[in-house]
Amino acid sequence: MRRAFILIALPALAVLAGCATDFAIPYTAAAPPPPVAGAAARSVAVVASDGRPLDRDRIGELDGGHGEEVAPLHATNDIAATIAAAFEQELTGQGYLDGPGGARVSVEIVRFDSRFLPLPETPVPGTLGVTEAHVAVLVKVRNQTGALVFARYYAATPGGPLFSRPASGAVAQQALAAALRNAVALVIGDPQFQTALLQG
Amino acid sequence: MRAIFLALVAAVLAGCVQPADLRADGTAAVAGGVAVMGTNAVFGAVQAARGIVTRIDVPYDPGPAPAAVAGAAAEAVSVTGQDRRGPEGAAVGIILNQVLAGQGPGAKNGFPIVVTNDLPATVASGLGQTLTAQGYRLAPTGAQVVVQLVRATVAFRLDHALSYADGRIAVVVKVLDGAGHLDFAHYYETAGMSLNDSVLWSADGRSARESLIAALRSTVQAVAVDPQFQAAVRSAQPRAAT
Repeated sequence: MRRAFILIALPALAVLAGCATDFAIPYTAAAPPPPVAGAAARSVAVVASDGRPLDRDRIGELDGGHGEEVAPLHATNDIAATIAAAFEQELTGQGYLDGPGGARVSVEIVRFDSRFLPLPETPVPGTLGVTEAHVAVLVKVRNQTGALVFARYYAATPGGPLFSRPASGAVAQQALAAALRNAVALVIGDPQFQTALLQG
Repeated sequence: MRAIFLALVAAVLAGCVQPADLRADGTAAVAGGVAVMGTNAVFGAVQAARGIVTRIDVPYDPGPAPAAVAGAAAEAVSVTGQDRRGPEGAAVGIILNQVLAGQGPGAKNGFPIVVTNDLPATVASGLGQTLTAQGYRLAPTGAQVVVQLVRATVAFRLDHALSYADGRIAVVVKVLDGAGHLDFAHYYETAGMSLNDSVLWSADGRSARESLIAALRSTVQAVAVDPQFQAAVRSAQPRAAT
């Protein structure tokens, strides 16, 4: 009887305690980017778009611990605008001039989602798990003449396991923010991306 | 309670709650599970079956022939595939028993599903076949199409009493001209679905395979009919100097 109570009550409490389903995913830079030689003479314009063909409205789902969806998760901020602002922040931090007349960077969001993976080896199945997140973007650079000079797909995750009880929207938010930070860092730190900007 | 337990044991023994591919691919391990059923029949089967890898092939199934593209006959195109997936690589998903293992879609412990064929090459081959059917000529002298496979996954969904596999294929397609200049790049993602054989299992090899085959076909079609892709292939052709 006691075990049955635990089996039912704990997941229910976990669901009720962490049930925020709509939240903002902010961009927080890890560290100021080092300046790039030659960037000061270059203008860069950034445009971000949402290219997710499927499940565009949802960024994950709350999980009751046994794989059943409790509620979908939604971002309250404009993810494309957030990503564009993040790139502008990082590129100006590297010394580029923000504006037209130089390279044009387009960032297309193709994955932005999280999910909860229950861990089976727990005393009460479904009460603990790992939240993972995926952020993927297709980045293109066009030069001043409009010619496509660079295109690359980047995929990032939070970088480490984020343990949580089921149905924690707060952890999903944390995982997605970390994956977003890592995705931006991947692009900004790519020497070939930088070469394309400098040649743009 | 006792009747339910006996019914479950009978179901497992009869093989009716095993995924089809599990029977084909992991007979020995499942047989091991059956052997310990005297004390803990169902959980024994699940534990014994851990480590089984369900291997599936995902061929390109073209479906209906595409319409011919006007002017394509004079154009040459070559298609190559590249693998840009993450560390999971050929492992596309997990099969597990939702009821007995107390887990659900997305769990990591279960029976991995691994694609045995070269999926990036299969996507490239499928696109090459489709372009040929549209009238293009496969030759290394014209547009170079690079298909980068960035995602191949099967997730498992429960919709009321229905359990189904949700296969996803995503590619980045690039078109380069004969000089290697990049003319076009676009991301395509499509889904394919297939009902599972049993609601007890999060999926089975058959439904995983069928969902991926459907997603693969949709992806190739999405690329082949994209007017911007078609325009890029034509503009990347070498032209005689005037």
